[in-house]
Amino acid sequence: MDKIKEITLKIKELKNKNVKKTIPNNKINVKFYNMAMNISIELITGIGLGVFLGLFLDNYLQTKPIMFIIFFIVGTIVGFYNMFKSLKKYGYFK
Amino acid sequence: MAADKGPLHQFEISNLYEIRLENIDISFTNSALSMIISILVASVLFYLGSGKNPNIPSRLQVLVEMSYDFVANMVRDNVGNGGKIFFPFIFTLFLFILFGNILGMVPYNFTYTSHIIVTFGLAGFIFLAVTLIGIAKHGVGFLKFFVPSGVPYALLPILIPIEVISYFVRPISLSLRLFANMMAGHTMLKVFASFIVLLGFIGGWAPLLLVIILTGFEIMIAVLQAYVFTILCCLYLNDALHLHH
Repeated sequence: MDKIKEITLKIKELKNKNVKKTIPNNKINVKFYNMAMNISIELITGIGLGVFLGLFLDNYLQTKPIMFIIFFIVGTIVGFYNMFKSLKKYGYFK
Repeated sequence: MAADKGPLHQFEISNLYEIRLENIDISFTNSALSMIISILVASVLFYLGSGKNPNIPSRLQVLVEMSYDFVANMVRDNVGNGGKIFFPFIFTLFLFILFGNILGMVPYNFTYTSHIIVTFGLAGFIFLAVTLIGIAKHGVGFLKFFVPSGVPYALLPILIPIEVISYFVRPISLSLRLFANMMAGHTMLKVFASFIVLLGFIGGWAPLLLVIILTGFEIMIAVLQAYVFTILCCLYLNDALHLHH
C-alpha cells in the first residue's frame, strides 16, 4: 500500500512539473512573441544592412561581387552578435 | 467593397488635398490626417484629464497621471542622471506611437506606424540626436563606446568594426521592429477577416472568433510596441550619456 501511495505522489509531482513547463496564459505568449520578433529582427537587419552596403559599394567601386560577399559575411556576423546581445538582455547566456 | 481588395490595400496612401511646392508633392494624405487625429485625441484627453481635482480624481485623470508616472519612471530607471530634460520628448514620442497604434485598430482609420518611412523617420531622428548628444557630452571619448570592455587586445580589430556596424544597425532595427509588428498584425487581421466573407454564414464563425482573439492580441501588441520603442530610445540615450556597454 505504501508503495502505491509513493508512486501516486511521484506521479502528482511529475504532473505538476509538466504543468509548470507549459505556457499558462496569453500574457506570456505575447512576451515570447515579442522576444522572438525582436531577436529575428536583430538578425535580419544585420544581414540586410550588410547586403545593402555590399551592393552599394560594388556599384560605386565596380568590384562586383567582392564587396557584396565581404559585407554579407560581416552583416551576418553582426546579426548574430546583436542577437546574442539581445538574448543576454532577456537573461540567457549569463 | 473593401473585401475585394487585397490585405495590403489598407496601407495605401491616398491624397486628400493636393499641395505642390514647385515639383515636390507635399499633399495632405490619409496618413497625415490620422497623425493629426491621434495628436488631437491625445491632446484633448490629456487636457481634460490634467489635475484639476487633486482630492477626488476622475477616471480620466487617474489614467493620465498613471501614464505620466509610467513614462517618468521609465526615464528615471533607464536613462538615470541627466535624463530628466529628455522626458518631454520621450513622453511625446510614447504617446504619438501609442495613439497611432491604438487608433489604427479603429476600422477605416489609417495606421501610420505601419509605414517604414514614418518609423524610420522617428528612429533616424532619435539615432542622430542620441549620437550628437553623446559627442557633445564626451567629445572624442564617445568613440570609446565602440571598444567592448574585458576583451583581449588581439580580438579588438575584429570586434570594433562589428560594434560600429551594430551601432548603425540600431535605427534600422528600431524602425523595422515597430513597422513589421504593425504591418504583420493588420495584414493577418485582414486575411482572417476576408475568410469570414468567403466562408459565409455557416463556416464564417471560426475565423470570426479568431479575428476577435487576434484583435485583443493586436491591441496588446500595439501597447507593447509603443513601450518597446520608447524603452529602447531610453536605453540608447543612457548609452550616449553614460557610455555603458
